[in-house]
Amino acid sequence: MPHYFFDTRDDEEFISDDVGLELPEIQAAAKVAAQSLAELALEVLPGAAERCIGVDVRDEQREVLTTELTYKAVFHYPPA
Amino acid sequence: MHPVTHDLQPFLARLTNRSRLNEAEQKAILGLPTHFLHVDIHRDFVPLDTVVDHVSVVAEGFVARFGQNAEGERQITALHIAGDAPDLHTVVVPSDTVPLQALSRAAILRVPHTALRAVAARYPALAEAFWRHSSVDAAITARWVVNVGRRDAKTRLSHLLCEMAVRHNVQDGDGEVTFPFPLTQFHLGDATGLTPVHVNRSLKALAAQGFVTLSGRMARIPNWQKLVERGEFEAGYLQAGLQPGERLRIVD
Repeated sequence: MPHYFFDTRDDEEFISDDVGLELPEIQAAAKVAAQSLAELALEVLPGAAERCIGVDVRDEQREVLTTELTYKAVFHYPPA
Repeated sequence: MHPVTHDLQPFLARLTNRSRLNEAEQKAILGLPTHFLHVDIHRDFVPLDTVVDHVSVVAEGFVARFGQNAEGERQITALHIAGDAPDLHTVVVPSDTVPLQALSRAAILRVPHTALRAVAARYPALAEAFWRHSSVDAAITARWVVNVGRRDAKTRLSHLLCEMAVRHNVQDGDGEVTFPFPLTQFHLGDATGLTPVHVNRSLKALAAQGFVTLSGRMARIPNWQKLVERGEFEAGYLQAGLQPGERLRIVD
């Protein structure tokens, strides 16, 4: 099975994955990337005004998938 | 694995760390019949939906109790180490199924339900000790539900690592603590309901901030109290590290 690595981005902070996962094919890796992105969102979005996060997938040769989630909170009344 | 002789001493130690047992009761535990089993890493030595007529006592290694969804994705519902009897309650609820997987190479001692019922009938204090053992497992499960349902990833992992440290009887103090911890980020994901990716990211952050590092199948906690606070951990539910006078004998 191919070995995929999942690097995470939180605004400009980049964390490289040096362990990776063995998965049957790229669609399985895409699912893990989406789940990981959602988990990261759950952790960093509450309280944030603007945030851009992403999970990028590599195999042992090259980049195979880039995901990104942009969040923006706009208050319609000025916060007290 | 080295050819080591395994007996029920670790199980007896687990019982007597919480419950006061006299010499005859302790001998009765050590005299229980056992069937010895070496289990390879990742093997389900009690498969899903299996009804058993024996209890599996962990003599060596790491074992997971688990459940899974229709797609086969697993959730680890408990971790067990040497001395634990993960399915002890099947002695009195024989229809329950408790799937068990080895997370490392493991040594298991199977003890027949009939033999455990016989010693419990003869020695009420043993029935009490078994009851207490199962109750601690239930208390651990309750803490895990809170952990998985209501804590962020780093707190969740910190809590789990604190729990496993205490269950390994590490010295509780301000100093550095190390204990065997062979689980991969994949296992940790299954135990905490996180993707391995998020586990990896969170562990890196915890290591960078000096809370805990996992390497070489060991966990190293540089400052025990610091991780306890990070993991919102209170050890009382584990009934571990009790002084002899605090160990219980209530029924008789």
